[in-house]
Amino acid sequence: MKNRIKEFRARYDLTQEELAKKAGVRRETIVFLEQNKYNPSLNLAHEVAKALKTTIDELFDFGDKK
Amino acid sequence: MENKRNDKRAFLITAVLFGLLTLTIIILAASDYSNTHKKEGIVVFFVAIILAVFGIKVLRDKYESLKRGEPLKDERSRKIETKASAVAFLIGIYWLLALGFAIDEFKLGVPASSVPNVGIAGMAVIFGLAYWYFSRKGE
Repeated sequence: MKNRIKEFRARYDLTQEELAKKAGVRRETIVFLEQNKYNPSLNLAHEVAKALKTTIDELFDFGDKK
Repeated sequence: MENKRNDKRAFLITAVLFGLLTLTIIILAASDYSNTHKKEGIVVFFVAIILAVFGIKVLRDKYESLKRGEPLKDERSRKIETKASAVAFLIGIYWLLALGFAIDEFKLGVPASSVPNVGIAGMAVIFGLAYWYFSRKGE
């Protein structure tokens, strides 16, 4: 599952550490999310989307677009 | 706020337990060596040193996380812990079986009372390696 976390983070000029703090996770989790190496739970996806002032749909590509 | 307090408490408990564990191993190794003068005492002492170095690194990382205001555990680290525990349990069973077989078959000279200690230490090492592997691998 691909995501646009890095793009949104740059848009709001946030560091990985700041985003981690806002989402309530460790910085490594944000690193792995940005590298598409970790699939977050629905709850974490919601927290990250909220921290980046967007929606889960905008942030994550579930690969089901036709 | 409550989470931060819990994290600080968890960190302190981990640090105290780690200190006690290392101290116990060092005392065991020292008393073993002074009683028997066998090289096993020195080996156990080196295990304690390795454990101390590894533990200090882990504790320092946790302390840095606390200082940055990060949680000590999050959903990813909990998943890794669960996976590593499952792997350590599964491989640990075979490790214990292999240990029992090797002691009988190859006459390793390990006293029966030491088998659980070696078994548990092996499982701890397997857990550490599995944790290290899963924390770098991703999903």
